[in-house]
Amino acid sequence: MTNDDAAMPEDDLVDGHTMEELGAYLDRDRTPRDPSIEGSPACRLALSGMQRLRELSWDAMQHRAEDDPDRDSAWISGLLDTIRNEVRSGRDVPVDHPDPRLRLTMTEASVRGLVRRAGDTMGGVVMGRCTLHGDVTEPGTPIRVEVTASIAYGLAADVTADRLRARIAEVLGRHSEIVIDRIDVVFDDVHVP
Amino acid sequence: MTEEPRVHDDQELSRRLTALIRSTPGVDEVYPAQPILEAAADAVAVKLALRQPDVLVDIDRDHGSMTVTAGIAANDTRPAPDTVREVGERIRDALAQRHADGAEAREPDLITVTIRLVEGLDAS
Repeated sequence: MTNDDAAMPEDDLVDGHTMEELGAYLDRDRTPRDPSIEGSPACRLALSGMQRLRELSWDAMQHRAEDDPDRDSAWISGLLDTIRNEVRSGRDVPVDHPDPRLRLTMTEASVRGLVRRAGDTMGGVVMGRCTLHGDVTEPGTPIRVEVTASIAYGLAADVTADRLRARIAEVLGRHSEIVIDRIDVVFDDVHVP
Repeated sequence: MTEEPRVHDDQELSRRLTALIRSTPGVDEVYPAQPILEAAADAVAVKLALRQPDVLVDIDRDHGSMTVTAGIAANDTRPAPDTVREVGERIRDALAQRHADGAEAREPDLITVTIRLVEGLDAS
């Protein structure tokens, strides 16, 4: 559990919207445009995650629905809960600047969004939870990144985990100043691609 | 009341800074400085409800100090830290110029810029 997890409000809303409302908005191809959704970074992170989840999980759902529809529904529901919890701003991750009058940061949610996208666009995995262990608010602190994911049936876990680690390290190296201690990958589910 | 002209001045300044940020390479969007959910919990909700879509940078003046706060969505066409650094520098330089021109009594004490979202080319 991180410090941020403890601070998160336990309601079901993302900037005033339920995940069901956001799902319905996606169903309508985000039309008519809703400023209260499009103007919210948290809602847009959630929409982005939900959109990729739909694209990634559709085939998997098709395969699993015949065998065990209840388990599949629980899987998707759990992933949606994870997305909802991870889009809240969280801690401020500093970006260095020599001028002390400039306080530059990125939200923890934006970092987790990067990690999620890195995994979901790799192929072969559906990202679950992303946790940043360590004091991300303190520049230079080594951070342990822990992710869970579902791996496509037939892929070698060690090779896939190495690919995922490399992608996460690359995206965090490009878009953040987090010092990565290590990246732990836990495959907690298997899906049929 | 003497507050009204200052409010209007700062609305216009916020509008200019919002446009300045939007024109920065790597910036996709400018967001209200405070998350909507958090803002709704306090009196700022009133301010937000009245907020215009092109007036998104917060300018606070308190006891002679001046702070500027903004939130952005960056895109991944360039490293997000480079984008947020340039945004901060543009705001700082624009306000320094206003100070030099006599439009501001002082330069800002603190400029806070937060990346709230990094959108990829694959993002919908």
